[in-house]
Amino acid sequence: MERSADWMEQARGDLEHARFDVQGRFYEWACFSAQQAAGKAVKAVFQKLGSWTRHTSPPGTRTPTSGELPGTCTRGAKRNGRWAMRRASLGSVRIFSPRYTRQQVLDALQAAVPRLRGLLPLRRVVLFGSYARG
Amino acid sequence: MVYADPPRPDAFSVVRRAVGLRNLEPHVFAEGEFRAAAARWRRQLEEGVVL
Repeated sequence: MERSADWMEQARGDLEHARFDVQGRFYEWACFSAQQAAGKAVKAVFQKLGSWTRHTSPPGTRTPTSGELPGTCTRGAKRNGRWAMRRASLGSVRIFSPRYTRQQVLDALQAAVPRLRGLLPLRRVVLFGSYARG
Repeated sequence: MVYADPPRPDAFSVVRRAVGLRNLEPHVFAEGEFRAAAARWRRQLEEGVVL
């Protein structure tokens, strides 16, 4: 399944998020968001080119199956006339786990929303994702 | 979070500072912006907790 447009759309969204981070002076998050945008844009290009391989196969020997995304790839090289991508090193990536419980997040949001209503004309506030699932 | 139009360039930072949870990633839209992107957020809204 060719999903380069999806990857590029998400890359644009991440880049927009990075701009918001800069405006808000969250510079470390801006770097992270920009890196995410760049990575997804590269994945879009590779998919649009029509071929990549994962580290489990010899370069250039197979094309992705449905639902298979190059999520662990960061480096590419052209071999045998086709693009091949190598497995990423995960050693440089730090994963931040949530520090709060679902209830702590809900309590903090419920306390913040009245303050926020004085700063922004809020219409809708929804908590979603891992914190909402608990 | 969705707020009334018009879009404000400081909306994201206002929310970020008011909420104050470092690991929480806010998504902040003016109503017009949200309408344009609503289809992408359908699943999150369905599974989310409305405050």
